[in-house]
Amino acid sequence: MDMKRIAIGTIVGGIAYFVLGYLIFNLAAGDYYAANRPPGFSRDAPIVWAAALGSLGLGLLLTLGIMSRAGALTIAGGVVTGALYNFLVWFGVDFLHHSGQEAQNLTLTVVDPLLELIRGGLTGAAIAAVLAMVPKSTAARPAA
Amino acid sequence: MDMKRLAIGTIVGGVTLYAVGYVMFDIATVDYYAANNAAASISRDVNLQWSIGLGYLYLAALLTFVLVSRAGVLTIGTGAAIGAVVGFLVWAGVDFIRYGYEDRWNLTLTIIDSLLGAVQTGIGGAVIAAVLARVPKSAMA
Repeated sequence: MDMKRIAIGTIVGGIAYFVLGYLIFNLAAGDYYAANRPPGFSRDAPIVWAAALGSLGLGLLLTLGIMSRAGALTIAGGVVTGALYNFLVWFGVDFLHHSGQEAQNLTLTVVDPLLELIRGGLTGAAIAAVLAMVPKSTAARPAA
Repeated sequence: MDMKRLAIGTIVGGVTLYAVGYVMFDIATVDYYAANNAAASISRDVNLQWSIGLGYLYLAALLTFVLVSRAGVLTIGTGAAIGAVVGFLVWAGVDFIRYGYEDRWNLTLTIIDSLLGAVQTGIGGAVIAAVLARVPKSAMA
């Protein structure tokens, strides 16, 4: 396991995930989310450190997924892996949360993982693009 | 990608996550969650079982995809370990992001839920690995 590449991928992925989340869910679709949620449910002022920590965790998950892909590391491969992982994560989580709470209606429960597909794909592309420039550690290579 | 193994792992994993989740979250810790849930006013009186089942199927699909994509021999131990790591990263990531933007749970429950999610998914990973070890790999894959 190449810890240097994992660390770089996690940081790049976490930052990309966080920034894309702000662009997609706060700026582009913020009004749509607000209209489909109970009033007072969203915080007036987000707790940024928590969102950043969560983004780092999912950045690590996407990095591990991209690094475990067989074959050469490409940006297209990163897009596919990132989109697939993030879609499955949020589709599962959104429906689990929808089952017990009326925090978001069914339409938003379906739309949210589709938007996460985009965020995951773009984050995966960023991770793959950066990792392609980072040489593999000799310690992580299997013995010849 | 071996679609037969992926389908079997997803179904077995989905059923396991559902059963373990029921024991962990609807029986063992239900009072604890209720006491730490700031959004209790929007909690449903009766959970939507179809939505729970669908959610766990998708998480099981992710877990199975990770397990069958992995190089090397798949054992129950590695299934449990990978399941726990995937479950922790998924739930810690989601819970902290939601904690950042939503007034749903307090910080303690946000942390506890991630750890319980790791236990649940670790068990799911172990069961998926145990079943997939008995399913021969497709020659196509």
